Amino acid sequence: MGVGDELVKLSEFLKDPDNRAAFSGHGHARPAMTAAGIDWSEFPPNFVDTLEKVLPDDMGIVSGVNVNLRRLTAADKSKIVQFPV
Amino acid sequence: MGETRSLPKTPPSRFGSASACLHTAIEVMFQPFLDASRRFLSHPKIAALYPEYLITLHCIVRSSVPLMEVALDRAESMADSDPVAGELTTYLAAHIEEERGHDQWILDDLERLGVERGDVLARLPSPTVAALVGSQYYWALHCHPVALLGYLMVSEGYPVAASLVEELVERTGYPRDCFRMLAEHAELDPHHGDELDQLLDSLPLSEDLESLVGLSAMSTVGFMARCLEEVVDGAATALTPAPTHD
Repeated sequence: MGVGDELVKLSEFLKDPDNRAAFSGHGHARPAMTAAGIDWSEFPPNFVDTLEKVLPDDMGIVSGVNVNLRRLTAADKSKIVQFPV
Repeated sequence: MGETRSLPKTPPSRFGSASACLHTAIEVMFQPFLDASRRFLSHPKIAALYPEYLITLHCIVRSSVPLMEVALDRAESMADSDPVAGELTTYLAAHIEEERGHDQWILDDLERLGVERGDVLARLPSPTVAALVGSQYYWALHCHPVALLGYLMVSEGYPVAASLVEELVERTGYPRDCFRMLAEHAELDPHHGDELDQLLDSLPLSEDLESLVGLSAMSTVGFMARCLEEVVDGAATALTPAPTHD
């Protein structure tokens, strides 16, 4: 298993609002993932810590319909309507 | 981009370099931004949405240089005792000059579309734009100015594709000279993104600072997605301007 496989599992896990609630908050993510059979050691440590902070639904960054954690393909990148700052 | 002082590199973890970890964090959050982009590009009123997108872009970009100047001031005040801040001063001083005046490019594009500058400047920015930019001011002033690299990486590390600019020209039917801002950045930003990668990988970032950059980046993706969603959601009231011709 690699990071891609674990991201797929994490995406499925986070589609459930109860799971998102269990995941959010300082120090909650790793135990929640372990309980769900997700090998969080595949993720960069800072990624997990940061995801805990941005995950609450009221942040609007991750929601049940939008959880699709994966790396971007070249085709994805060519279709980003970017805000070039 | 000016040359950067030599600093001991943070050794890559088994997860890769600092920039590789940041790209992972950014990309896994990107789906809402991709979805909003798809809605924008496939919208039947894209000709009306494009000026609205530029107006939102102007709301964001007019803060770019002031924001970097605030981060530079803060980095300079910390530089004597903070090597990360010291390295940032070199980068930001150069990047401010590279970005200066780009807000005017947007106003020029809008003017060619027939949208008056005064009307653009009179538009109240949305709370989402304020949250996007305002969070960067907060992190720069009250945490560490290195946070700004997360914001810049989302934008410059994932630049507008030249093919997308062509698609917009075709889909909207507007003259090509209404797309200068995007066309210039399609050319410039791949280089700026590479520079950001190199800078991040040269900085002696602590775990806390690496997390801060990641938090800045991941929230930037979310806020930018919402900014674009707001543009698309405004389609019902968006007016299609009449481009001016020289």
